[in-house]
Amino acid sequence: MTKRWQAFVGLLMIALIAAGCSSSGGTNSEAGSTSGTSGTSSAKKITVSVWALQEHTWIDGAAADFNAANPDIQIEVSKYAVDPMKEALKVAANSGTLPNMWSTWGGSLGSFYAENGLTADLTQIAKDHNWPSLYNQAAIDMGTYNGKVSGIPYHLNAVDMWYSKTVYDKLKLTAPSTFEELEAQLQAMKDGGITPLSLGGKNGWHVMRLTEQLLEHFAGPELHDKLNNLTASWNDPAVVQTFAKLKEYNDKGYFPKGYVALDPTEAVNLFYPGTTGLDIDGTWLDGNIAAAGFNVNDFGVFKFPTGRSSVFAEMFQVSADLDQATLEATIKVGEYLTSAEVVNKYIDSYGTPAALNVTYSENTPHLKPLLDMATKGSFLITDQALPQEVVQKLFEAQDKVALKEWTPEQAAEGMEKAAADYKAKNKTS
Amino acid sequence: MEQRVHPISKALKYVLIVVLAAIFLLPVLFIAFTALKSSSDLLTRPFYMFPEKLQWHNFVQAWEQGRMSMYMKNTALIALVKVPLGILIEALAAFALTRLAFKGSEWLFALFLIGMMVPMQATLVPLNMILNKLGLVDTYPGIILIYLGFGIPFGILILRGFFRTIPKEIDEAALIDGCGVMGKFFKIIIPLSMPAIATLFIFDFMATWNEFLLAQIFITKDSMRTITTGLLAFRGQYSANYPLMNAGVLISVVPVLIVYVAFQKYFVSGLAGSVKG
Amino acid sequence: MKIGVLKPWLFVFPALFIYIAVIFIPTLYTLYLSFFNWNGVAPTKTFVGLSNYTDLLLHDSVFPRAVANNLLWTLGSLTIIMGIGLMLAILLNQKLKGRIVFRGIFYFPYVLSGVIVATIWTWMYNPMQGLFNKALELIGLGSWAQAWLAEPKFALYAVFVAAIWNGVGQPMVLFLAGLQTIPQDPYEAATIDGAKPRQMFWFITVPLLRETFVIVVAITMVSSMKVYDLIYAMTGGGPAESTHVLASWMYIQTFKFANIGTGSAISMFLVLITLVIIIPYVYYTTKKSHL
Repeated sequence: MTKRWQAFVGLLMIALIAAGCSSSGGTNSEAGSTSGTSGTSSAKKITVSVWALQEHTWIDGAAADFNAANPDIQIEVSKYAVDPMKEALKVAANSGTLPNMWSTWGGSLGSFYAENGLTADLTQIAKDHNWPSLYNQAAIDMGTYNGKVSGIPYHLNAVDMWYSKTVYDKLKLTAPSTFEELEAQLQAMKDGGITPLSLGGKNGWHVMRLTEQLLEHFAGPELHDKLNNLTASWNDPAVVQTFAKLKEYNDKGYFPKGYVALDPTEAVNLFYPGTTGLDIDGTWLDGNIAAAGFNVNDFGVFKFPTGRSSVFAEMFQVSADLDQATLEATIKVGEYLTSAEVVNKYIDSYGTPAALNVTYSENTPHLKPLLDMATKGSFLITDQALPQEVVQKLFEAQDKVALKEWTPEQAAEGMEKAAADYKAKNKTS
Repeated sequence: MEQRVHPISKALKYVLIVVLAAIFLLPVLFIAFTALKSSSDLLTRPFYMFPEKLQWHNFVQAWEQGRMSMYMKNTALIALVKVPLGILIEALAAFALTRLAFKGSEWLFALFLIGMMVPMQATLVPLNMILNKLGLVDTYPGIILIYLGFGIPFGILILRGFFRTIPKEIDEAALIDGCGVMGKFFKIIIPLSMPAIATLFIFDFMATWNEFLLAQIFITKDSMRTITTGLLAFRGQYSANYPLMNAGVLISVVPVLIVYVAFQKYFVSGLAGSVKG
Repeated sequence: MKIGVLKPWLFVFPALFIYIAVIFIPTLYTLYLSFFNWNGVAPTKTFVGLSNYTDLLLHDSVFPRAVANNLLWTLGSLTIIMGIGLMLAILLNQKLKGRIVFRGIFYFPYVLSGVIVATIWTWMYNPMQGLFNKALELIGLGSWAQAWLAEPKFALYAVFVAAIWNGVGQPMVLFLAGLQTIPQDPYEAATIDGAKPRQMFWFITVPLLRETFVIVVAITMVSSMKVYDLIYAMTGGGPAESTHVLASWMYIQTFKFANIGTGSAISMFLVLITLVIIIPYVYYTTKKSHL
C-alpha cells in the first residue's frame, strides 16, 4: 500500500469517523482492497518525464529503445491530444508541476513558457553540441526567444499547396507557376464541377493558410513580416485586398458548401477521393493519405505562387526547474528522441524531422519537395506568429467576411483594433 | 400510477413512443455503421449508408490498439470506489439537512448549491496546487477526492429532495421503536430512498466513467489513464480514425449500460404503496 | 438516543470537508484572481479592481452574445428538454409492453461521450453528404437545405437539437424516480370522481412531483449555464464567434489568451447567476413544505 492511498484513506477515515458512522469499516476496506496499483520501483535512476502529443506514436518505440540502452535513465512518456496538451501545460505551469520536458510549438505558443522563465536556457548546450550541424537552423530559430534557445526541435513542418492528380489529369491541368494561372485553374475546376479548395473554416486555422498566402501575395514579404510583428498597421490596402479576395473566392463558390463551419478533418476528407482539387496542407499529409486508404502518388505538391512557404516548428522544451544531473539526463533524452537515428528508424510515423542528414521514406514522397520549397524562403505560420488574441480576431474576420457581416475594409479595421488593443494591454501589464 | 385509459388513446401513445424511439435510434445506428466501415468506405460514400463490407474486426482492433482493457479496468476501479463512497457521504449530509434540522442548515445547503455552478476549468489550477501539496498528483486517491468534491452538490440536491418526500411520521415511529439516529438512517431512510439512490448511482457512475477534463489533467501516467482519455488516441491533430473511435466508444459504454440495467429495476412501481400506505 | 447539537454537523462533516477542499477554496482563489491582470505564471499580478468585470460588460465583443446564448439555451432546456423528459417518464411509467427497452433507448444517447455525439451530429448536418439535406430533398423540400452549422442564425439551434437527443435521458430518469414516490390512492379517488387524465396530470401528478421538479429545474438551469462540450465540439464557438457561451469564452480567455483574470471573472459571473436565480428558486419552492 502506497503512502498516497494511506493519506487518502486517512483523510476519509477522519471524515467518516467524525460523522459517527459505525459502518465506515466497509468503505475503508473497499478503498484498501484496491491498493497497490501505483507501485513503481524507486531505484536510483533518474526518471525523465516527457509530455508528447497523442499522434507521436514513434515516441513509444524510441523511448523503449532508450530505456533498454540506458539503465540509469528512465523515460516516462505521457500523451495528450492537442487541446488537452495546451490545458495541461498551462495548469502545470501555474502550479509548478511541469514535466522535465514537453512538446510544444514555436512562435507565440512556445514563447509563453520561455518568456516566463519556465524553460532552461539551452543556448550554451546548442553551441557545445553543435546543433546547427544536427538540426535545421530554421527549426532552432523558431524556438529561440530573446536570443535564448528554449527547445530541442523535432519537427519542421512546411505548409503549401497539394493537388489531386485525379482532378488535374481529368481537367488536363498542370501545377501552376503564377498567381494568375492558379486563379484560372480555380475557375476551371469550378466550371468542371469540382470544388477547387478543400478548406474547412471551423476553428479558423485551415482557411488561415489561404489567408496568409494571399497576404504574402498582396503585401509582399517585408510588409507581411511587419504585420505579423504588429509593427505595421493592419488597416492597409494589402489587408483589404486579401479579405476582398477571400470574399471573391467565397462568392464564386470555390470552397465546399458551408465551409465556414466545416471541420478541417472533414474538409481534407473531401480531398482524398478527388471531390475537391486543392488543399493547403503540411508535410504530414502523406501519412494521413495512406492512413485513410488512398495512394500518396495520386497527389502532388506545388509552391503557392508567392515568394515563401509557411512553416512552423515543434520542439521539446526543457524545464528550468531541474538539478544539474536531471537536466543533463533530460537533454540526453531530448537529443536522442530528435536524433537522425530515431528519425531513420521511425521515419514512416515520425512526421517531418527537424534533424538533418536523415533518409526519407518512399512512403512520404512529398516531404522532401515541400521542405526544399521552404528552404528557399519561409515565414512563420500566422497562428504562431501573431499573439493569440489577434489570431482569434483574424478567424472571426475570415468568417465575417464570408458571411457578409463585414466588408473587407471593416475586417482590416477590426484586425487593426485587435492589434492595438493587444499592444495597449501588454504595455501596461 | 395506473389509470384506466381508452384503448385507442393507449394505441396512440404506443405509436408515439415507437416513432420517437425510432428517431432516437437513428443516430445510434449511424454510430454503429461508422464503427463497421473501413476508412475509405467512410470517406467515399455518405456516412448514413450501410457499410459496403462489415468490418467486425474494427472492434477487435479498437480493443487491442486502444488498450481498452487496461483503461476500462482503471476507470472501473475509480468509479467503483468513488460512486458508493460519494453516495454514502452525500446521503449522510442530506440526512442531516432534512432530518436533523439544525441552525444554519439552510445556509449550509445554499453553500453546497453554489458549488454546482463553478466551472471545472476554473478550479484546475488551485486543485493542482492542493493535490501537489498533499502528494496526490497522479494518484487514484487524488482524482477520487476531486470527483467526490464535484459530485457532492449534485448528490446532496437529489438526495435531499427525495428524503423530503418521505413522511416524517415514519421515522418518528422508528425513533419510538428504539432505533437510534444511525439506525433510522440505515434502516428507514436508505431503504425507502432506493429509487433516488439508484438514480444517483446511474448518473454518478456514468459521469465518472465519461469524465474527461479532470482525468486528463490529473492523471498523466498512461498506465493509469481512464477510458475517455484513452480513446483520444484515435484522434490526431490533423486526422482521425473514426471507425476505430466509434467502435471504441460502443465498447466503452457497455459497463454504463450494465449499471443502468441493473439499477433501473428500482423504477418499477411498487415501492410507492409502502411509503404512504 | 438524543440528537445533540454536534450530531448533525458530524453527519455533514465528510461532505463539507471534501467540498471545502475541492470546490470552495478553489472558488475563493478564482474570485481573488478575478481582480487581477495576470497571465498565470508571471511572478507579479497587477491588481485591477473590478476592471476585468467592467471590461467584459462594456468592451468585450463576445461576452454579451455568450450571455444571450446561455439564456436562450437555458430557456430551451427548461421547456423542450425537460418537457420531453417528463412526457417520456409519464408514458414509460405506465404498464406498457417493452417499456424497459424504450427507457433504455431514450437514455442511451445520454451515456455517449460528447465527442461522439458531436461527430455524428456534425455529419448529419453536413451540407453535402448530410442526412438532413438529403431527407429534405427526398420529401421535395430541397430548397430548404442549408449549411446548418455555417449560418449564424441556425447554428446554435442546430446544436441544440443534438443536445435534445443527447440530454432528455437525464430528466426522464429523474422524473421516473420521482414518479415512484407518488402513491396510488389520489388517482383512484380521482378516477371514481370522474376526473380526466389531463386533470389528473395537472392536479395530482405535477403537485406531487414538486420535489422532483425542484431538482430537475435546478440541475437543468445549472447545466445549461455551464454548457460547453457539445457546442465547442460542433462549432468551436463559430461561425464568427456567434455560438460562444460563457464557459467556452472562459476557456478561450484562460487557456488560449492566458488572461487568467478575465477567465476568472467569467467564472464568477456564472457563480453570481446561481446566487441570484437558482438558490432563491430552490428556497422559494421548498420553503412551504414540511421541513
